[in-house]
Amino acid sequence: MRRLSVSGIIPLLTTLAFIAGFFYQDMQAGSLRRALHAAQTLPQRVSLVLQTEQDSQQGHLWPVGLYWDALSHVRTRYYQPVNEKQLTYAAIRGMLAALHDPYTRFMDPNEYRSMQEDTRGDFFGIGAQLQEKEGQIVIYRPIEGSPADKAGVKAGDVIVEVDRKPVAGMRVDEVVKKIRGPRGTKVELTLKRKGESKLLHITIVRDLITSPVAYAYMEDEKLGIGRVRLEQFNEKSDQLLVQKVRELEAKGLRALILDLRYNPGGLLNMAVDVASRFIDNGVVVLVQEKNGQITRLYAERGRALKPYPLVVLVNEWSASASEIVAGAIRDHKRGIIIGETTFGKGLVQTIFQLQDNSAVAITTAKYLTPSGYDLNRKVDAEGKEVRRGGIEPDIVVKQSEEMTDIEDRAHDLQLQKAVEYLREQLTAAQVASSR
Amino acid sequence: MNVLSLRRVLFGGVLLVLAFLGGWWLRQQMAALPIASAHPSARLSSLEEYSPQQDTPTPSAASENISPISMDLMQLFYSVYKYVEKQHVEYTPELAKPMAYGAVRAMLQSLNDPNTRFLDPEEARLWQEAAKGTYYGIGAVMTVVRKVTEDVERRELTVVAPLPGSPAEKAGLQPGDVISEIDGRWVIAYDPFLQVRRSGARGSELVKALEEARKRVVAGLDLRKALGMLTNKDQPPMTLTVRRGNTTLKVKVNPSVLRVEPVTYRLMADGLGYLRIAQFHAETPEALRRALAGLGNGLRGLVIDLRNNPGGSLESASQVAAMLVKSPTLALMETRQGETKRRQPVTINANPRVKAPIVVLVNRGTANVAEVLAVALRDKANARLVGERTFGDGLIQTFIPLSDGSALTLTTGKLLTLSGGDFHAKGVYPTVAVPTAQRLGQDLALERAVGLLSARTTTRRAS
Repeated sequence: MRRLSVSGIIPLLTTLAFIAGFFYQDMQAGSLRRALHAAQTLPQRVSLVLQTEQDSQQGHLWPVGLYWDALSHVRTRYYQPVNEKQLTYAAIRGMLAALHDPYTRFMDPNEYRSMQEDTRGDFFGIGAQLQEKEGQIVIYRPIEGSPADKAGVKAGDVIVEVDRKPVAGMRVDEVVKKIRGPRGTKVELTLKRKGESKLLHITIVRDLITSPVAYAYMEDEKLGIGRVRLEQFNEKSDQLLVQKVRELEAKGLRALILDLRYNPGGLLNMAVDVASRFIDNGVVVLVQEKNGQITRLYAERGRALKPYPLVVLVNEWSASASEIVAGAIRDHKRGIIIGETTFGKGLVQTIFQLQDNSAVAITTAKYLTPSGYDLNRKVDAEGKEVRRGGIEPDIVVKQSEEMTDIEDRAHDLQLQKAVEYLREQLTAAQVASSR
Repeated sequence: MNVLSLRRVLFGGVLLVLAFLGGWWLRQQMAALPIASAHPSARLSSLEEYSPQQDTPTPSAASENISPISMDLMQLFYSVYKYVEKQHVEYTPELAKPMAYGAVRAMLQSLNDPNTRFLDPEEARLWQEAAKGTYYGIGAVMTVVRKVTEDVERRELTVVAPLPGSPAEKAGLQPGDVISEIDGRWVIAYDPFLQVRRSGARGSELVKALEEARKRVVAGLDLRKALGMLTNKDQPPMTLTVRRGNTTLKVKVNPSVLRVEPVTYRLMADGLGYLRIAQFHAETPEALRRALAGLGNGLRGLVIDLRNNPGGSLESASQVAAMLVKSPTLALMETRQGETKRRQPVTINANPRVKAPIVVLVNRGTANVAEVLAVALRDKANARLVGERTFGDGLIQTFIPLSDGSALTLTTGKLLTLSGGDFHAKGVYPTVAVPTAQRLGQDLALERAVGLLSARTTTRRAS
């Protein structure tokens, strides 16, 4: 009789011990709710741990199940030894590539570290942003006054070699890594420039890169047509814009050109602040999150400059925040856009750090102009463009092939068109007021 | 308390501790897996928001001991997937499938082995049909051959063998032909940028080469697409550019569907039998049994034609070998166990039914398990190999179906001959070398085989 009761109690005790073990951490934390929640989700969680067949067939777990399946086979059966971590990284990259969103990307610990260095800005370089274009590494634009700029590097130059080593087929970050180095050291770039048959060899001394952001020019002193060029949107942009406009106002500003060419964007709140200088009231940009949920960001009232006749200059390298500002000005009919169709990037990435110090950047939202226009350029699986995106100018002006530099006014057809347009506006207004 | 009950109590205690630890362990595993609630919502403050201190799931210590396959890696993959699912602005559930396929495809690609591939359900179906003898498209077995020339790795889409009666055979494709273009589009065989980089070209030459390379990649076909075109029965007639030795020729092929008859046979003069094994698939052993019965017991000699036999399943070849070779093993298979290689014999249940002398015909289209069988016949059935050096493909690809109808083909091992000979990328040399290409309906290799068998039977009769 005694035997029987013991054999009955053992499974019960065992089960209790198991459950106690399972909820041990909750008991420690003293959270009954958590314990109950854990109990509720137990079946799903267990099946996840054990990766049952059922899981891999559930649509939403498909990638995980298939990855797991495949990795299990490869690690046990593949003929050569394998590196499971590298296989996993490759799988993650392949999974993200299926989204056809070039901004959603995985960074292994090395790549992530170098990206962090970028963001901190404590690096030494030559002061040029690079971009991959059709398999080539192209100078997006040299930062004004930077070593690259002083050495004569121009936007659009194709980097063929770094220190006489060819870079064809490398990724941008690999090339950037080669170009960076200790302050004061030299790097030699071999560049191919449009319209030049010979390659250029340019030696540049690496230095700390600090970037001025805004420049003011008086294009027509008689009529008072001024231009403010913004290089990017960082913390100082708005303040500098105002400062530059005040300088121009002191010289008799009557019409304004906002030059956003080669401006790759930057901070979103700066885009809103800058737009608020031109739009006194209303929506600057729509932020569309997942599930189509839209957040409206409004112009801050009372910050607008005088309503000067306004032209915004853009080109294909105007991206992101630049496109937001141009789009807002266009949608509010506050000014006209002159130049070339912009880059087409209106996406927000959020970076999530992962457990092994790798990270993933995911496009978590996109920007629409106030009228609901989607800024993004989109390509399909074949790399074919499905939609161009970007801001199409009201007046399209192709840049002259002869223009060698952003300061080369004599060949700057876009700038000339802007000035001409504003002259007409000012004279028409004069005629109208004199009647 | 006697010893027995003390034991019992101890046993019970241990059991309870184990159960407790089991529960704790399971919980730790679960903690390692982030569930939906672990995901922070994105704040919108900048275009490139940087948020390093996200609430990412922390790896648990217990995951180290669960299994050699790291839970950490799975967790990493899972986290990325969950982040995309919860946060990506354009994620829709329809993307789960392409993401899954993209992941596995890229994972296998990273192994840098062109014959280890992910097959989507349609590709998997074609693969399975081919394994059963039904071919779509040009009707040739193809493989990707890796070659390194001048430091540049090339992956050439190579014909192993055109199958009998196939569009490929009609078009005159031959074993070893490299398909370099389909309808004038380059089948991308190497990274042209890498080649340019290593070519040492400078100046305007370099610029020209780079632009050339870019154009080639943009206009080219990757291997997967090329294979897709060549195995599609609905593809309109194609012109293939083929490299054969040092010459390049253009061949027009008209894709269709082909059912390969695994075994054909006929009786020849002088009591000699002719048996052709076209491929080793599930029906081949039974077809051979029937063929051998059809040829009868009174054979004085048998020609086994393995020309253009691209191989097939090892299981099928083993059953075939059992009927032809008096040996307990067919070959050796080398597989990986942990970090080391091990060799195991491929055993067969030998019950040979052919007593007569055998001559085997081989050529460059004789590949894989067909090569192993030829060697086994040579070494264990005293057969002579007549013809040309064989293809030299010893790698075993295993077809592994996944849960949703897609599949992997994994290189899981390498076949070696019984004596441990590695014929991969080398081929097996014939005992008697004779060109096997048929000219004007004349089959020199077969004639030679018949000659050898007749001489042998004549000698025997004389003795």
